Amino acid sequence: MTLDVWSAPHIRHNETTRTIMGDAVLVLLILYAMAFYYYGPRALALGAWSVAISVVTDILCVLISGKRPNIRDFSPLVTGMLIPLLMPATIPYGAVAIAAVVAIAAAKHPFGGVGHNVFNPAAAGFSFSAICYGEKMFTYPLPLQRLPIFGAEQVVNGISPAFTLSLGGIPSYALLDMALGNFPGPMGATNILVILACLLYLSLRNTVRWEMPVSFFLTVSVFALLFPRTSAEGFESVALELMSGMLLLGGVFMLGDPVTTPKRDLSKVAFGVVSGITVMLFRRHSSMEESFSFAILAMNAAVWGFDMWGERLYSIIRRRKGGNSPDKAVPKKT
Amino acid sequence: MEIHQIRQFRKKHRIFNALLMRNPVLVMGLDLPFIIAAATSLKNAAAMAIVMLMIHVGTMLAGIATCRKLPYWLRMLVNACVSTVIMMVAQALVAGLFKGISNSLGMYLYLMAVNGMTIFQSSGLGRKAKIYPVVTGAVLSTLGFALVAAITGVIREYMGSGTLWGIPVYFPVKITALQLPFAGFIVVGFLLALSRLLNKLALSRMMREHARRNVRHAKIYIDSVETID
Repeated sequence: MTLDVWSAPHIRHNETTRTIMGDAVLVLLILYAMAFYYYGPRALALGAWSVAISVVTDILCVLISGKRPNIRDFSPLVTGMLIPLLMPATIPYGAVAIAAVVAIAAAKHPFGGVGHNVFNPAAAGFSFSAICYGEKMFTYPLPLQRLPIFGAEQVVNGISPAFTLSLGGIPSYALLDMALGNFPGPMGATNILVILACLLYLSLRNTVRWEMPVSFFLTVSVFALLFPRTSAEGFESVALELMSGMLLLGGVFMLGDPVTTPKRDLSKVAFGVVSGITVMLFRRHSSMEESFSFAILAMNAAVWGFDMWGERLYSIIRRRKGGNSPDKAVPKKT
Repeated sequence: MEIHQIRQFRKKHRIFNALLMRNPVLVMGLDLPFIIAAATSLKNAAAMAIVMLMIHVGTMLAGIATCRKLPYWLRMLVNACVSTVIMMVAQALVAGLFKGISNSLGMYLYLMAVNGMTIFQSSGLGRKAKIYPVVTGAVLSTLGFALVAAITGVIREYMGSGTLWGIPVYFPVKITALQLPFAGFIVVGFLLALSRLLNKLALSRMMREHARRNVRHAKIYIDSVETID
């Protein structure tokens, strides 16, 4: 028998950062294909521009911190691909660039880079751009227009369901059209069925744990059912809330980010519930048409609390079961 | 590297020390609210620097007088009163120098009367404090504050509104969010990182110089020993 000596870690999980990011890139590519179908080549150009800025900023930040850039790290690619999908297809390239730079240089690397960031980089980048370009960020073109790569001023804009809901009205789009993505909105967030398919794939691959998106969407649904924002009630109110804005896309890709979410399953469920309530409260009381990313950032700051609560809960459970607790070492009196 | 050598280096480079190594804003976090909320333009930064210089130096001088005669609790009160009186004079001066600065700085101009740096340094004066080192220290601390305010103001004004000292200057994208207080935190955070990097570089340079000097001394010693032999 030969004895091989290896250094730790000795047990490895099948999922690595690379496979998780690879899965995310794959599903984001599908969303880009849909965006290309609805808005033409400008969608791809925005994506490529954002990815280029993100990757260059990431390499610069890594070099400044005195490390060697890792080609196998896909995280800037995911951030870069996600940012334009949260924005309208007519967004200026400058807004995308600012969002990408802020996401990587202000929200990711100052906290230690991949796996250490407190806030979701894409949410931070989008929020920063939303403050800078408020009007342009929420002016959406009608779908099925071929937007030119440069100079997308001559386009027909439409009213997004999120805007109508924020004013207390009921969007005039048919629910089937909305499910198929045939309404004005962020270029990656309108393809409802595709996003749901992406969520299913990511959950099956264990890239996104199902506990959190499910608890989040359920909470949002219950909230919309109990406290509808408009005169639409019941299922209609739930469907409109779920399909408007970036709620579905953000719920899958930003809220489901494994770095900025609690570690334990029960904490994830609690986090999803509280995030759902926070997002709905932000939607009701915010002056902005889309405040999802701000709600996510607020929740990201509270993740440590959920982690602490989860650990305490699990230690109580272990102690009751008599598992790996110090109590077990004490022999019981008979 | 021993602590006395670092102290020697710091004494030798007092201005560098005040601006970077022991900058009251970047290292101690004093007067951070003024930088974050009010340093949105170069003009604001200049006005704040002038007001701070007058208040800080004046209160420190008053502090020398009060620290010898008055008890600690009364000293604080008198210092605050002195800084408020100086602030009123400084505010009138600055309002004459820069048009509309009172509106631009708002309440922060008046709040400078009770700024953290002045309270912290004036309350720490001992009975044997001498005028020259205290005044020099106050001026250098104000210089540190002014530097951070100026850099933050330039970045936020140029990138946020495309102007410098109110004059339009070309910048491809306007990042209006930089004018908001949260962006002040981000800018100060990056300045802090930069100052740490510069500190690190300065210390490593000092250590290299020290090592080189040691080698030179060792060579001289070996040569002298060989000559004697």
